[in-house]
Amino acid sequence: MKKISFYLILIAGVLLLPQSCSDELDVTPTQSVAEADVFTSTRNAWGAVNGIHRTMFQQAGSMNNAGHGAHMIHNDFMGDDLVPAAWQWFVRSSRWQEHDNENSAHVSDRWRLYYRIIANANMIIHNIEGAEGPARDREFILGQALAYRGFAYHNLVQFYGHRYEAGTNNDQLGVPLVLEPTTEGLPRATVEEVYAQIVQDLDEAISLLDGKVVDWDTNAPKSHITHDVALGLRARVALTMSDWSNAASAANQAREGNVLMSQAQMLEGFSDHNNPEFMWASRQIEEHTTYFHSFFAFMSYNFNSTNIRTSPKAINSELYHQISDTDIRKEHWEETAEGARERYDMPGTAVDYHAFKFEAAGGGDSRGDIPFMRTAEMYLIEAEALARDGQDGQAAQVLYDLISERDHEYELSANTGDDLIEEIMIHRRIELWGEGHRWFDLKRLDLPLDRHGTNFNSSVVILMEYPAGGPLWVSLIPRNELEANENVVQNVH
Amino acid sequence: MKKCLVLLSCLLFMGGSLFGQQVTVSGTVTDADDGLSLPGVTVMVEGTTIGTVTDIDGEYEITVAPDATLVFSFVGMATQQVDVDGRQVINVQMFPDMAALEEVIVVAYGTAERGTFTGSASTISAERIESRPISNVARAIEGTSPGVQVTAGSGQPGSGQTIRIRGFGSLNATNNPLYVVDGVPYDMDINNLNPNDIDNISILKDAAATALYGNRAANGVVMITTKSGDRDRTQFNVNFNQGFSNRAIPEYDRLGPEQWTELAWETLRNELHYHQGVEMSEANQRASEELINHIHYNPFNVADDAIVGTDGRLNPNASLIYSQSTLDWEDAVSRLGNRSDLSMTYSGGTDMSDYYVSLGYLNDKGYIINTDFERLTARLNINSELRDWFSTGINVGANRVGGNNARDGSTTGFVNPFFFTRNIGPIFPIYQADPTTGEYWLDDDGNKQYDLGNHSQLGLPNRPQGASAGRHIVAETNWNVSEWTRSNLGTRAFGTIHFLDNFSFTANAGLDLNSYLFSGYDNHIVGDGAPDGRGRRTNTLTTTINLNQLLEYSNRFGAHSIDLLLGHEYYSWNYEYDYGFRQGLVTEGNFHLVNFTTTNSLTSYEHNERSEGYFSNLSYGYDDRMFFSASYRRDGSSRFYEESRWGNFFSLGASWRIDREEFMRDFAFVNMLMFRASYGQVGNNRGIGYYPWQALYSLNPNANEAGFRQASLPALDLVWESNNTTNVAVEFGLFERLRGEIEFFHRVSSNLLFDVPLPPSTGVLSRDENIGEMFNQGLEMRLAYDFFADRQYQWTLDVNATTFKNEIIYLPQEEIIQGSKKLMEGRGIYDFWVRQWWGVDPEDGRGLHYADTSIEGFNPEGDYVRVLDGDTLVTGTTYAKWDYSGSAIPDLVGGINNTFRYRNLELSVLLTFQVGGYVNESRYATLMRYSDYGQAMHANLWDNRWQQPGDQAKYPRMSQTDVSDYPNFSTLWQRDASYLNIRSVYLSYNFPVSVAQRLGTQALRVYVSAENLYMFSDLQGMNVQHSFAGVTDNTYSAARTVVLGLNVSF
Repeated sequence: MKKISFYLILIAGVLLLPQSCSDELDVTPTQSVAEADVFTSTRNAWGAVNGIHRTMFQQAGSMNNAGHGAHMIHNDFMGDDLVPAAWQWFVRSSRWQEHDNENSAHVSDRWRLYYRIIANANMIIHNIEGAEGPARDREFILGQALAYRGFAYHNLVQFYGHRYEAGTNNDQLGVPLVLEPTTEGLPRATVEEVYAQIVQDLDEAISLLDGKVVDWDTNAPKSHITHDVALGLRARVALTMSDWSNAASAANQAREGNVLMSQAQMLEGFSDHNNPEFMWASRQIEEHTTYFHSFFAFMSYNFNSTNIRTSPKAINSELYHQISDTDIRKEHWEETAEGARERYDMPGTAVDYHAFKFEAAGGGDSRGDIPFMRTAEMYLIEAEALARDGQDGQAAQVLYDLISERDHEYELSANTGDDLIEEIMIHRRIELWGEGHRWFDLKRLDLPLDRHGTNFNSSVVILMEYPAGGPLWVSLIPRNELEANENVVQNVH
Repeated sequence: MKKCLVLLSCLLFMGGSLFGQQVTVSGTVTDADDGLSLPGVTVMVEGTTIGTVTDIDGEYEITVAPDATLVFSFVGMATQQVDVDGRQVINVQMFPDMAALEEVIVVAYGTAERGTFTGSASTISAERIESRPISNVARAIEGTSPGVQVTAGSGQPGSGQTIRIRGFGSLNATNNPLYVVDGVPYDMDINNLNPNDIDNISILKDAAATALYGNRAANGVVMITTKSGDRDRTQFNVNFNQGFSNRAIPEYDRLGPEQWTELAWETLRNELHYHQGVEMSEANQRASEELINHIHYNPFNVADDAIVGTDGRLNPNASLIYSQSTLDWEDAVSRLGNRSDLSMTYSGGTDMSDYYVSLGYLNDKGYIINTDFERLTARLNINSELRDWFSTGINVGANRVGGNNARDGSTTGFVNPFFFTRNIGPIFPIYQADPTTGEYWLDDDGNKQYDLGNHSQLGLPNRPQGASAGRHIVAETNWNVSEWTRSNLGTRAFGTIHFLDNFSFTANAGLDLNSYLFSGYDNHIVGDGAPDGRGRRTNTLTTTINLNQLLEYSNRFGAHSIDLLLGHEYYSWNYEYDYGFRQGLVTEGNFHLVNFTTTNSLTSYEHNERSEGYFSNLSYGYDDRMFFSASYRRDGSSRFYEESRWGNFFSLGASWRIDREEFMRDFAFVNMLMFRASYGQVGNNRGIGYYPWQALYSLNPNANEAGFRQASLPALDLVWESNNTTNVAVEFGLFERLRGEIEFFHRVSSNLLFDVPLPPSTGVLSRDENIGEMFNQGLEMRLAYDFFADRQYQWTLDVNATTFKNEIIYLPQEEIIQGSKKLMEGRGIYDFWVRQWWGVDPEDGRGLHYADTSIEGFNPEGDYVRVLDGDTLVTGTTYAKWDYSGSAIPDLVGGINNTFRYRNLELSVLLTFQVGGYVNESRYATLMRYSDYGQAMHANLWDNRWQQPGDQAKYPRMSQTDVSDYPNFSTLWQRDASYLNIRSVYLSYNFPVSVAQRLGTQALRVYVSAENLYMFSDLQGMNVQHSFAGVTDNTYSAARTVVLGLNVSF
């Protein structure tokens, strides 16, 4: 009897041991934050805006798809100003083979990037009302989110949508207009509808951001969207829409108070957010681990990667020869391979018209701050818009204000009409080389691609010309969107 | 106890034998398997009750009539009759009773007699494991059990094979079985275990067998039990083997320098002529002149513009200036692998306790330089019946495992030796050599120097892009470091209290600790680490706790037997991760992070998972003829939202021993006949991330500011995926020679956990959902036949084969395309969905697929359309037709095990095979497409490419541009996946006891053992078994190992 009770006590004791409460089965991750916590305060919600800033230069997918910077490179490879030396990363874009393939990583990663920015912006736009904090904080956050949404749609519609044609009703297909957090796939809106939304978002952002300074933005890093940047985005959009007066006025307002860099700074590698001319830029710090996907891992002359060693970037020789010898920008390239090798003892190939515009932090460090918007672009937009609007005198003056900084010998242009426009466009190509504008410029102006008579190597880029208005001026929609969204129709190539 | 009775009875009968003319016979009885003496063997005089038993040394002495016959018997051994014939010394070897079907198998929370078990299980015994030169226990499973399919596994030393039991039960959650070591789930790498320590492996396949592990057993359970001591046999055993390894599957057959150069010329000529419109004779001329601009290196002793003539033939005066060894990259990263394995065990016991202690050391150097695996293991297993009401035991396994890995993780990484050496053209020198004479440029110390492509100023060209320009696999493999070590401690402890006669209570506790350290370095001279050098360290600590408590009741009432089990289980898993990555090496040779200048990344995080379950099992047996069992289990998992986290699982099983029925008395040839059936449901929650139900933002700082970004959407309704398996089987034994089983299974997976793709335009790519239903249905067969089973000769042929099909029953979406597969209702998980290749246009050599004219934008007048033989065909892939073309799942997969024994000599040969199924051979495709100058080319191009109008060729014309006409995922690259592999061969010789004892040992065995001797398949180089999905890769190809071994017992 004594023995039995001993057992019973023992068993009861052991049986009680495993008692666990159901809380044991609740676990939380350490690498993430619950969605519910993000919009509790403006301070937290600001983190959601910063997440978008970071997305602008973060690798997502293949190595040549690190944020907006990568698509700036794709856009230039697809154009006629940037000459790749050999078959390497991005060269399929030069051949116009990437956007012709609905399964290519470029096509799907680009789509993913801008829609991801839109989804994160939508979450902010949708939830910011409930975040605790001063109203001015909420407006500041909302303004940035709206600006990002407008920016992202502008990039999407230019690539996946048909060309915006001023003076028509633009009922050709654009991209799905997702304006609320959702899991449903929407149909493609018309180009007109997309542009209307972009303009609305940017105009609202401009008004929300006007004069806004918030406590935690005192050092105002260049990655944030300021009132000026929102105006700059508005100017870009107006230019695409051939809306010359709005383009000129937004660009003019955007550059007000912003300066141009010095000639010395022109040769500092375009990779420092402290450059006074950078209006909007990423900032890559060491911990961001840029590896081989950074913008500068492909575009710099000095980062020691297979890409740069075997396929350095060069400028279109025809364009190069249009640069005045007294123009500081001529220093961005070396006319001969020998000259390039003398300038920098590189471990790889040197080519004629070798580019030295962009400089990475070091041979083993691909860091650099990507210039998303510079004051010079605002001058160029304003000048182009004025010239196309027939205001040649003002246009020439704005152009002079910019170019005279680059070339002290430059004199006010006597050109008028198409000649003046052509001169502005040449300067635009020289000034913004490698900054991701060329293919969109060709498309908005309905120009053909023509690489003949230049240093383009046909065995590398294959495609030497492509007519204006051809079907390849619009990218295919990625396959993964078509598969998950039955409302979307594919473009025809 | 039984032995004591026998001994007693023998003593009693001894008195009756002291009559007539008698001889005294003595001798030793040994176990034929390991040569050890066998105590306790009953030795009887036939036809009498006179007998004895062997003593502790296996020796016996008996006085009998000179013409008597002795009968030797022992549990589990075949009884032997030996005529005395006047001899005075008779040594006997006992052989395992091959017909013994009543083996004991390890099952969930206990053991079961095979003949009464209602579930489906296969077992692998120690002798099938310890005799093989495998570094990973998982490799002992292939071919031994029906219903199991495995991949080849990497050739990286220490790596295992991926196992699938009864098809593929899940789309996105795991398909891996649960590993259970000594009764407790094991989350650590199975290569921590020393195969020599394994007593047996049980593979539990159906729900009746696995239901008690219901929350993690959806894909079957592999139960691994380590050895324990034998209470009446103290022994010290040493097993040592030493051998070599090399590559089991030879490299693809590729063109040598001469033919390769001609085809490079032809590619250029075709480009000029067909794509740039250059007239043929001019194209020939230009190709000869310009070839050097594309291949960069001229490995011949002729002028750069005269390597290949305008007729496309190599200059007859050309001969190679480089030695073969400077062009053979594969050879430069290969070596003869070397394997040493030493295990020492000490085991034994007393009346109350047993112990098993082992130490093991393995050093396995792979056949690729700088790849190895080293393991030091220690194990202590102790069991004790301290009181008649209390028993306890503890198992402790401690080990340190480590090695250097080949960087074969990325299939197209330049640091992957297989990618690099497979795809580099045959004309590029490894070492710097004079481009005109081929003589090496030696450094100051007289050593050869790697040609890194950075000496253009010295006149050395850089390799073209297709030949991995700017990279150097020999240098990088030599100079980079990928070193890892894992320190593990695994403990299992139990205590059982017996009370009230029929009750027992057991508490089991398992604690597994795993500390992992990875140290990587990318050199600063060439490759990803240049020019600064960079180092990284990963440190993880995994802690797994398993606790369970079992209350058991067991009783017999006449013909009825009842076993009842109630249990509770708690599981907790914690993973801590630290990672640092820095660059800018300060001083050579020290790869610690402190020795770098700049921090690229520094991070840490942890993951947690917990689950809890309650379970019960009731077994009922009637008259040892009929058996029933039922179990029920309820589990909660931290992976699911609290409202949907608990799942209920159950099983029902029955078996009927027909041979034990009255009416079977007349059929004496039927040794055993059993019918069994089961149905049950088990769950799956692994493989989908740790927090799938939660809506999360990932931390995403922007420069120095805090930031986060949307990462996942909520999935509050997510529940357990479940597997519902029906199992019906017949097992039989006939004529004491033939044994077999035929088993049918039907396994339905429902509530499939699937990462459902969302439209990317919504911003989140996917969300975990329970979608769809799928089944696997198949037939497993096993037949074993003893051709000879007597004392001197034994030959057993044991064949198993499985056929199964997989089909999706329901999907909420019409289709989901994943690579070369398309999931649809009515289709299988590995049904190929590929472009439909037609062939080559004889006119101009373009490759053509069938056209899909329904694709939007298709223009019948387009220049990509061709009509041949009445078929509408297209160049390019935009309008190529896609369709289902075969499956990666074979028609039949299995193993053939042959065991021969002649006296002390044993030979066993294991063949594994697969019949049917397809492989989409992307590695071959890459070698068949000359997309970049410098790339290697497959030898099949030589005779099978299109060359001139009218050629009926299998493969298109040489061209760089056209290669996009025939990408992967085309029927052009579908190959037959059938194979036959000589998986394992084992030959051993047991020295006779007398010899062994003269040498001062108890038993002595020498053996030769080999793995992966040869594989027959459709294409040299193809790794048919690379993946279940029927695709190939550039991973470390499987190794062939041959060792010579010695096993000594003292």
